[in-house]
Amino acid sequence: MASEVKQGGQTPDRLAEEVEFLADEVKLLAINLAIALANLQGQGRGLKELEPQFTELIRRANDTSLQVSEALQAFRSRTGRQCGLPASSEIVEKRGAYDGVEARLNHIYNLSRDIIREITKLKSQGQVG
Amino acid sequence: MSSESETGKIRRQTAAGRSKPARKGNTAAAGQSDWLQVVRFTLAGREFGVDVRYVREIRRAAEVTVTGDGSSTDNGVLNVRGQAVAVMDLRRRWGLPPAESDIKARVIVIEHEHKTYGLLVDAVTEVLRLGQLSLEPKPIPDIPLGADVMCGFYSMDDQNVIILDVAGLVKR
Repeated sequence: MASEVKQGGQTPDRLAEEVEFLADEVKLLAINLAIALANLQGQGRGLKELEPQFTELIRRANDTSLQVSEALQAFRSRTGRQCGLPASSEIVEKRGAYDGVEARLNHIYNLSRDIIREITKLKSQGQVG
Repeated sequence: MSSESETGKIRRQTAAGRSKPARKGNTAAAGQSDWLQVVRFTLAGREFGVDVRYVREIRRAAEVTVTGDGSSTDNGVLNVRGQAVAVMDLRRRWGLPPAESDIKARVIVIEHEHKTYGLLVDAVTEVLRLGQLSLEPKPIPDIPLGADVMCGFYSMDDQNVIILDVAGLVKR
C-alpha cells in the first residue's frame, strides 16, 4: 500500500511502481466515488455539486502520475548507465523532486480514501440516500 | 492519452433527433430523472454499461478467491465486508475466450432484490451519464448474449455501449 512506502529512500523503479499503483488506485476510487454520489438519491446535493470538481482533480492526478511514470522511465534509462559511480547532485535533486511528486500523490490517495469513508459513513447513518 | 485518462468523466449525450425508447425493466429511471447513469466496462473489446443504481462498488479482480474446477460460470468468491459473494465470469458465461491479461480486471458488485452478486469484467472505464431518450433498441451483438440480458444500446465514440438488464443477468 502507498502508506507503506518510505519517503525519500526508494529507487526510481520502486517509485515508478508506486506511481502506477497510485494512478490505478485513484482511478478506482474516482469510479467508486462517482457510484456513491450517483446513489445518494438527491439528498446529498452538496456532495453532488462537488463531484465534477473532484472527478476532474482525480483525472488530472491520474494523468500527472502517468507522466511522472514516463519521466521516471527516461530518467532511469539515462542514470542506469552510471552504475557504480556516485550519484551526481543533479540526479539527487531529481530524485528528490520525484519523491515530492509521490508525496503529493499519496496525499491525493489518502484524501480520496477519506472522502469515500465519509460518504459511506453518511450513507450507513441514513443521512443521505 | 487512452481512455484511462477519462476516469470518472461524466459525459452528457444529447437526445436530439432520437426517438423515445420503450422503457424496460430496471434501466428505466422510473420517471424520476431524464438521465440514466451507468457504470461503463469492457469485455472482449466490447463496451457495456450497467445501471449505476444496482452497483454497490468496484473491486479488484485480484481480490477474488478462485473456486471450482472451471465448469461453472462462477469464477470464485469475493469478500464484501464479511459477506461471501459469488463472482460470475461474464467471459465464461458468454462463451468467450479467457482474457490475455487480467491486470485491469475488475469485479462489479451489484445488488438485486436484496442479493449481492459480482460480475467479473476486463476493465471498468467510468461512470457515464446518458440521456435516457437516446437509448436505442436492442442490437444484435456478435457474442451470444441472451435477449433477456440487454436493454438496448447507446452509440457513442463510434462504439455501441450495450446496456445490460440486471434482472436478466442474475437470473439463473
